[in-house]
Amino acid sequence: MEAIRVEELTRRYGGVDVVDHVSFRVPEGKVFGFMGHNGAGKTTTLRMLLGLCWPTSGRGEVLGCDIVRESLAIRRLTGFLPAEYSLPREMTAVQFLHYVAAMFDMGSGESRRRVAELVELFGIGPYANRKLASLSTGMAQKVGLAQAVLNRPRLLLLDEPTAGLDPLGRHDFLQYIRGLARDEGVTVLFSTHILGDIESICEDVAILHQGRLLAAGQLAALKAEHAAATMDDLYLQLVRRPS
Amino acid sequence: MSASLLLAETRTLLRARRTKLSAGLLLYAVIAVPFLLARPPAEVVSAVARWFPSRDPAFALFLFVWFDLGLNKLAALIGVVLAGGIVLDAEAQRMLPIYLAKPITRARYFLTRLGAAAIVFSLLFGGAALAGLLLFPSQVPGFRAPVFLAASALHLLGALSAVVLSGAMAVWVRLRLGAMLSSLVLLFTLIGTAFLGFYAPAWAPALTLNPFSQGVSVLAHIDTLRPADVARPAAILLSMHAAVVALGALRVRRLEV
Repeated sequence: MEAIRVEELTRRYGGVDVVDHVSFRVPEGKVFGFMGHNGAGKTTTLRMLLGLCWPTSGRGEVLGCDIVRESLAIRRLTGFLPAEYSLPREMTAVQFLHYVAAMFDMGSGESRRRVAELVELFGIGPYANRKLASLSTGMAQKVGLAQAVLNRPRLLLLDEPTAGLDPLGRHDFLQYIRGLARDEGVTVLFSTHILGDIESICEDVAILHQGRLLAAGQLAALKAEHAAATMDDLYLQLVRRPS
Repeated sequence: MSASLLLAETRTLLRARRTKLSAGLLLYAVIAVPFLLARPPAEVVSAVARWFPSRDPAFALFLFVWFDLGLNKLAALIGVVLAGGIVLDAEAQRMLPIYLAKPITRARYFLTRLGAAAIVFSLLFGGAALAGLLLFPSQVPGFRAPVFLAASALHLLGALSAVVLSGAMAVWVRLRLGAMLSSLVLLFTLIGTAFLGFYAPAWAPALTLNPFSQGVSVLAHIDTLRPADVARPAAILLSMHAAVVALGALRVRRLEV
């Protein structure tokens, strides 16, 4: 079963195809690396999958739901951590998580239980009642991830989630993502330009460059096919290959 | 619109600094009115006596000062402060992708934010009216609490147009400062002409669509107030608000982030 299926997905802004006829499939229960440097079209693709913007052409399904017609159903089943975001400065972490729970129509009892679980899980406790404006980058990212998994999603879309984290924070973050897929069967679409992150937690990847898909499939198979020893070699070969 | 999200949004707005500032402005208005009434300009006294003939001219003068000089101006400011950046603030602060990735339509998000602003605005203006009810009877000769409350309720409904118009303007203009300035210009134009029907009756029909005119229309019936004098303008105001809110919701549906 596939968590995501995208066919010929295209998005045009001002005459430029920032996502250009992209097709790929993401198997369920895996951490799928979505790779490409800044401006490759990763963020736009993720946003189209969630109905935050609409494709110019092409089609896609997420967890069996059409990305244009059934985006609300998709958003009920998914979690999303955007690349660039900020948290409401005047709220505390707990207030913010309760606010997000209300967006899922959670009752007050369920909301209290789930928020308490997440505060415990992410070690937010000592900072839970401090204004979000006062949190460090790493702690804010934990709150960001907590809001993304608040609804126990079947699919988690992470856009550049480790950018800005220190090495320890990054390690913990990747461990948590690995555990989500392994222990809870959550599918994770991990969008990043940090090749080391892809290599450390992804078995399957799609590589995007200037809006176009260069390759997609099992990472080991792609490396073998292109005689690449490392992720860096594979990426450079694909990007520098004449189109 | 879910009740839990509306409640969460309302709580958030109640805690905001701008709400506290708005409450401070209204408190100032409540305290300032007795000083304004202590020595009113003669031309204002004679104009009010002509526009709103009443057996209690001091009460009529008080209602004019309270609604026009006090609340109307503050309604425009507070309406823009509470609702002038709706959706745009979350977009500017890069929170919108998080919120709109939840199972909530753009229209529902807009309506929830606007609903919370309207509730907070109503709490502030309702609070000011209640404070006035405690303070003014001893200050204003001929003060009539039922008329004051009826006039305050209708005025609140009219003043809510400041919230509704500012919220709709925000999603139509899509530039925060531009939307706020446009809202202020529009609201102060409406407020500036709100009493035009009283001193230039020929203009009265043209002011049917001015929510602030509807909001103060009770002043023409101080001595003979009937339920219909409140119900009719209230129905017009509710219809106008519904139309403006629908226009805002329609616009926000095509928002991309």
